[in-house]
Amino acid sequence: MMTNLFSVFDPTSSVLMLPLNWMSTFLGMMFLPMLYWAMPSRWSLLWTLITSTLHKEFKTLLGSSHFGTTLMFVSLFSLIVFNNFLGLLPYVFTSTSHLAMTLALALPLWVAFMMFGWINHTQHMFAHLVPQGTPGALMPFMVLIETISNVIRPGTLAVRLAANMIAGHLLLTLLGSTGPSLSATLISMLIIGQILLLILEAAVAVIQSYVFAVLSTLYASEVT
Amino acid sequence: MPQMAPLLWLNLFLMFSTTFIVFIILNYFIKVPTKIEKSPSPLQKVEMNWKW
Repeated sequence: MMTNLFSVFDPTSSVLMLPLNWMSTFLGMMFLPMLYWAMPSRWSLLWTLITSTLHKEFKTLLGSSHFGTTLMFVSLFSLIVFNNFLGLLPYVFTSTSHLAMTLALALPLWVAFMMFGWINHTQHMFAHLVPQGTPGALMPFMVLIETISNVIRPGTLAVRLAANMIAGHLLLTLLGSTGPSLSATLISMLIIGQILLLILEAAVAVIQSYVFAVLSTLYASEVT
Repeated sequence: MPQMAPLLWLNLFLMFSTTFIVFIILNYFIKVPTKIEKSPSPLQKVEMNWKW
């Protein structure tokens, strides 16, 4: 019984009313392949393939002077994609749909980039505030706009991920809650619709995690 | 809305940051480096006049 439309997202579990649902964040760790043997398993090879593709993507964005930085963004992608994707399974809590998690990921990254950039490369950061080729009279407004867009970056990163996850789950819940009062033909149509939505949600889960990682890479490359 | 309730957000922030760091460490140790196949270069034959 749903007391509230958003009660699906409540992290309180039924065990002593403790917020144990947050433990689903650690589910992704069960899926990462561990190297117990010298010969990599099939899943380990698949994971290495995925991370190598991501590494090549991020390498181009970051430039050749920052070797090893792709590790952080690839593991950021892996954390978010496991949380998003496993949240689609029944009864699994989607921790990335909460602003607590997405802000906890986005805000430290952005603050770190800004502090590093403004303290160490001050002139570079000032130069970035005016895009190339703006006419002279427009420059004060461009600086204002670029500053505002810079300041809201952690907010947009966090809210984009959370809102996408919330929207998908909410739609599925809403459609599903009309189920008990429908006739047989309508129920079959509802089930087909829900399956299609689930496939869409799976795609959105992967895409949104990718977008998050790529954007944070871009913000990092802007600073250096 | 449960998403916006700042309940124990500091503890949650510490837990998520620790989980992120654990993911980074796991990904570091999981990665199997790929071997690059080097094509065998033909032996360089330097023609020299053999004399003492």
